[in-house]
Amino acid sequence: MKRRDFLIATLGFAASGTLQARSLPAVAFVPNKRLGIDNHHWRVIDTAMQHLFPAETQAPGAKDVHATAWLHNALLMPDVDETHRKFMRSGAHQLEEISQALFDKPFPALSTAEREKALRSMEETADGKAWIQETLRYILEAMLSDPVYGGNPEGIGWKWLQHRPGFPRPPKNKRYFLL
Amino acid sequence: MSDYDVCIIGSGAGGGPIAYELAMAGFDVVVLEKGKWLTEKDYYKDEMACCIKESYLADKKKEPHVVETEKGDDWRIQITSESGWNLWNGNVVGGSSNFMSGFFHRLKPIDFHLKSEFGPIKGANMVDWPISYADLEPYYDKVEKVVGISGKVVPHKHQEPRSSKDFPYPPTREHPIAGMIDNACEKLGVTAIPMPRAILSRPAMGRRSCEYSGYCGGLGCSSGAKGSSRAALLDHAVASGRCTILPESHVQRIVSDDHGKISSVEYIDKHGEKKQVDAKICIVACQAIETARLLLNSTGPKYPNGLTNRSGLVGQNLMFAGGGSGSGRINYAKFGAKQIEALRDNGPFINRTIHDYYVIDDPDFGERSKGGVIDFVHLHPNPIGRAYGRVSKGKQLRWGTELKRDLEDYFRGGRYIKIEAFCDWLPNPDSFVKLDPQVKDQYGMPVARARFGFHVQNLQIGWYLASKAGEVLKAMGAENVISFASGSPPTNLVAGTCRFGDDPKTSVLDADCRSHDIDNLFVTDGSFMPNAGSAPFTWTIYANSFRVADKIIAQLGGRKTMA
Repeated sequence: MKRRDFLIATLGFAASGTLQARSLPAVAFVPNKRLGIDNHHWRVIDTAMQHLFPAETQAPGAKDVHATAWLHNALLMPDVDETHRKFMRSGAHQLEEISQALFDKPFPALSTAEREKALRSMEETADGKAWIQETLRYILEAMLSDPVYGGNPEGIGWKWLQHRPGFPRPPKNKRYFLL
Repeated sequence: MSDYDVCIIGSGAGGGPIAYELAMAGFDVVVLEKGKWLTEKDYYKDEMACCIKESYLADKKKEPHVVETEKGDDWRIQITSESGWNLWNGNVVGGSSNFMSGFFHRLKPIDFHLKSEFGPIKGANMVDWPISYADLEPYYDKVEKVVGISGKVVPHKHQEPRSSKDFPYPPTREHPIAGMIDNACEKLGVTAIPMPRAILSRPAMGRRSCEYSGYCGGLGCSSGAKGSSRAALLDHAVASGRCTILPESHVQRIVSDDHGKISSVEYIDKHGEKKQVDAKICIVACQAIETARLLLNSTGPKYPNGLTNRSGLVGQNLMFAGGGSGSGRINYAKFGAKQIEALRDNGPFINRTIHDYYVIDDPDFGERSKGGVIDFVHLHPNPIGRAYGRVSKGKQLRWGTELKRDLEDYFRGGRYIKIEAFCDWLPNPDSFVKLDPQVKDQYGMPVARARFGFHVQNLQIGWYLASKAGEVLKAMGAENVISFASGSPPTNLVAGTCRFGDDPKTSVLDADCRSHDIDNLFVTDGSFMPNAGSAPFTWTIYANSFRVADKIIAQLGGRKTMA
């Protein structure tokens, strides 16, 4: 299986290298090597995000707002420093190690109850707690930022929380990194 | 031969009136602003831009500050680039006035002589002002007209004397919660008054009216209704043909010669090149912390301790807006569908303020004391920030369906009302700015190190005001009411550091905000204030800057053209 196909199969994403327009049903990415996160640890992150913010029939989850792709692209932004990239990378490794130590299984292979235990165990360390908090922040960004940035497709997060966005909303050429 | 008549460093509320007035009077003005020149065409209601990525602020990794906060009997020292602190408030043309909410209050006559009125306070450096309210009143009035303030004058016991009968613009549209506050206050025997806003309620002066987008404070205005220094003043100054704005021009120091005269202002331009500009008059208006830093960094042959610092007082008496805070929620479940729809509308403003406690004369509190004002405002609507605030639950984190149900209730179940209670941040020996001995910015200049010591009276007054505000929220049927005071400074409201006064030994500036040491140097941001009032003080900075503009015009020989 080619690396790209592997990603699509494992993460369930359609292929793409950048944040996608909202018309696409799913977003994918080819992990950028610069981030130093291998395919397995992207699966760990993706599984963790879906556990931390699960999709439900009546309420969108991390998967619905392409949170993993959001994180990937956010970490590539020039304003993010290497220390933070390393921190997010280390957190994925820490979670996988906890999973192996507690259940002798990789994190993506755990049951829902086991994932909860692994994450609660991670929360007991200061770094682990900070990583989960940051991961939740990225999920909420993907859920509630303006769709022009590639998350919150069709304003799904705003609609869920009955949030009224302000106006005028930012056009593509006025996104924060272009100001 | 000078390049310009006046060089202004900083383009916010302290610099804008000088640029406007001097350009209108026929003088050539240059404004050096370290940030970009963004306009209405660049400002959108974008939480990523304003608040997550802080795109309108200097990069604190390249330009940090150092803060000292109380930690037991010692001081905890943190560099902003490695902590949650950020002392930048708006590094664009127009400064932080682009991002203010525009809750506008005048100071009251009593604020100009607190020491005479209430006597000295142990541990606080109280002094009377060298000017009176009557000296500033015409300029408060001018701000109403030129910057554009909307509101309605309602008689109450602490109403300041006014030269105009009412505001030039009617109040902005009001949210139904305003009426609920009025009813609750009536029951409690408290006077709720409409809050003046530096926001146009109808088009004027080439600017559009407020469009009630629901996103105001913390964001740039897309309509031009908000009375920022840029929209209200600098745009007109530039249109006169006599004001040049140099954005992305970072001033490093003000150069003085062997005779102690200012010879030039040194800055790094947008291409990274070192440039110089000279002018007959130099104005510093970079906000209190950065103003002090620039002056302290501007040593010269005659000024080994920094410019206009013979008194040693540059950087001392740093102040913020002291006070309390709180919130309550009006649950939608009590209302019918039509009322819920009106309550959900986040466009109109609450705009209610209480001034009854400006002086606290309450035996339950203690001695008669200077109090403050209470503002009731909407909770900021930014959804990412609000949602992220729900993630922490005590020592644990919330996630999964528990977090999702909480967010549903938090966002959909009711409307939050925020209490903002303001009292004096008493100037004290543990609140000051100096240069950090080690940390430097990207250009190699020492950064400001600020100590945030607060006086215990801040907390006492803050608690008093916040609890009074909490009673109003309870009386109007709000739930989850909390109110509290804090010694943590709101760093968006900063004053002091270059106090004005008549005695050069005890003040940095004279009564005209001119340096006691150098007659062509003025400071016109909030640095001049000996006490900052018990309310947001942007209106006072604007008014004082208009007042000083008249002094500068006189010093330059009077108006060349009629305004």
